[in-house]
Amino acid sequence: MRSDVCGPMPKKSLNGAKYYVTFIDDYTRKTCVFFLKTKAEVFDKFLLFKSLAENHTGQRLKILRTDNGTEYSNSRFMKYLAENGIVHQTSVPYTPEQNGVSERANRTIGDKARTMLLDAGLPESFWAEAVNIAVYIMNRTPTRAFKNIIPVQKWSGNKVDLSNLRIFGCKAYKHVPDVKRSKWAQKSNPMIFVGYGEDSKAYRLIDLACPSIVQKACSVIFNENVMFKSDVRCGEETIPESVIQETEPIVSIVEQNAELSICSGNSLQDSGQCLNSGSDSSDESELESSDEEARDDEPEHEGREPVRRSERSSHPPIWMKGYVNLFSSMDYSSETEPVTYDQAMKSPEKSQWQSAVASELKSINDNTAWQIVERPTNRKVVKNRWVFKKKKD
Amino acid sequence: MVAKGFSQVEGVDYEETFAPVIRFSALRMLFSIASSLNLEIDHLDVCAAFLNGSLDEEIYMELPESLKVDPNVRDPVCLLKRAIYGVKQSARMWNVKATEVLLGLGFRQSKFEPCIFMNSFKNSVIYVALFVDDFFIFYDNQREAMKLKEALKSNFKTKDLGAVEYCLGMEVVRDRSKGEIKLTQKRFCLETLERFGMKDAKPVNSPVNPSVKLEPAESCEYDVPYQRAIGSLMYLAVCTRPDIAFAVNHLSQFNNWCGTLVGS
Repeated sequence: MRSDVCGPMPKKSLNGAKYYVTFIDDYTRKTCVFFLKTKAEVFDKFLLFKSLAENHTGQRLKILRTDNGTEYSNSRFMKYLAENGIVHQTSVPYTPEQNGVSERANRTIGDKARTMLLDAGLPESFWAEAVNIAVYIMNRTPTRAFKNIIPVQKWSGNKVDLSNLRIFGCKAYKHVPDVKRSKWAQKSNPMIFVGYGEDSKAYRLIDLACPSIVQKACSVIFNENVMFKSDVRCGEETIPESVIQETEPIVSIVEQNAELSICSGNSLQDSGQCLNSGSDSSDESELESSDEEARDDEPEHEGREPVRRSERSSHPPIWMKGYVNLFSSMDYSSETEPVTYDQAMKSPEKSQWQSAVASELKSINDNTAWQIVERPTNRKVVKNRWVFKKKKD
Repeated sequence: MVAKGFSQVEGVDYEETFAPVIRFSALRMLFSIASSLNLEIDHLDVCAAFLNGSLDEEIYMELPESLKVDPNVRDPVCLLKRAIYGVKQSARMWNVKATEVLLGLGFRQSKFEPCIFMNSFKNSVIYVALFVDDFFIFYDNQREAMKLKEALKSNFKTKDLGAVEYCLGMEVVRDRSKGEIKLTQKRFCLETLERFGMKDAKPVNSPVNPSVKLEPAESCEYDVPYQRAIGSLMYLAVCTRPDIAFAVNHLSQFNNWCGTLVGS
């Protein structure tokens, strides 16, 4: 099994993740990806992956190959590996070539995810969804490493079904169950497709009105000709403010498409209608100035009311920077004091050290602290050393 | 000269190694008693204190470098008679010895604070606080105190530092007219600031900023002796500055993340 961590990303994902870790099975090349807020979570994810993989394949994890990152080479991780008889093979420092499978996978994932994000026009904070899909596709694509086998097929032994593949970021209409709508209400809600459900047979969708929640649904009709981006451009649909706030480069989008307009609306009720005409400038300024919305998504949080959480990146106040600089600019290596007797006898203060040694021996002698005897045969003889310290007061 | 006591074998070379020291709260209490009873406080320092402790066990040590010995002894080693520095039980043996001497002089040992000894006479009282090799003598009768000092001098090589001025990093400032004793650690604070290169840092009123949420750093950006700084602050909090105790406690939660430095 091979593993590597990628990150930190410039922008946090919807769920606050800044890193992702990949675990790649060497036999099937199936890739598993987990999203992390800190690198310290790697160990927990590793345990998760290990039990999952061992349960599913019936095989035991025997070798873990990684780079030398501290997320792997820490005492907790290494102790666990040693106790469980897992060999930890690390690459030579500054030689990522030796971790080629993982590094190449990172690039493949990155390329796929970037392309999809750009194509969909979704903001950077959706990187985790894009990476997730990239891995999903990778696992269903023949790998050249082993005679074009398909990783998940080899992993599970079942033929893969690709009929569910959709374009990332495309328009999706989620069916509203009968019980949840009245007779004349619309039968579906427009959403954006962002992924495949992991634990249920479903698509992951985000609602434009409330982008912080990832919803799961299986009764969905896709319009793969309309992407999130083009949605914004053509103004076919109303774009609630919250979504636009997410797309940070909204200004540039507007500039690029100066002739196109942005529609604004506030709720789903409006979404059926098309406010096609040009947007007024007040809308735009309002969007820019309003606070960033909190959001939360990704596997664990589906279908729940979002917890509002500040999205601002937190850092200590600027006035505190002085402390760190001052503190760290010090040279903490202690003064030059000889460590061994030989060093003391070679130092420029030799005579002072010599007299110090003599007075110490005299004091010991005065107190008859020891006797000189022959070496005993049956006892351990304790060693000793001279400690040289300069007293300052 | 230190022995490498870590290679001593338990059960053979040593048994018990615990040695009590006085608690700071107990010491502060003695100072407050001294101020209310208007006692004198003298400071007596024992030179090479550990060399007074005798060893129960036979411990052999290699010859120290530079020591010249009788060439007739074949393959010579030192058989330790005294608990020199570095031997595991040194501190204990010194404490045992000092306790023995004080008890022999008719002092009673406190049941609650094994480093406080007391003796009372007709209308005078005398307390002795023992902090490793420092004796702090609290007395109101000059004659009894002199007797005690002489007795200690006959047992150990001591240095009489007179009225206490500097005790365990605390300065003792006495104002008899007001009947107060002040313990301050100004010097220790300044030394600490200098040691960690923060002499010119701006002072603040609150030790910790309640609005800054500390988190373990993901990576260590600075090579900072964090734990050492915490240690110094901890000493300060224990001695005279309970007001920074919370801040120190809070910061020391990140001791094992050699972290970004904020606050304090």
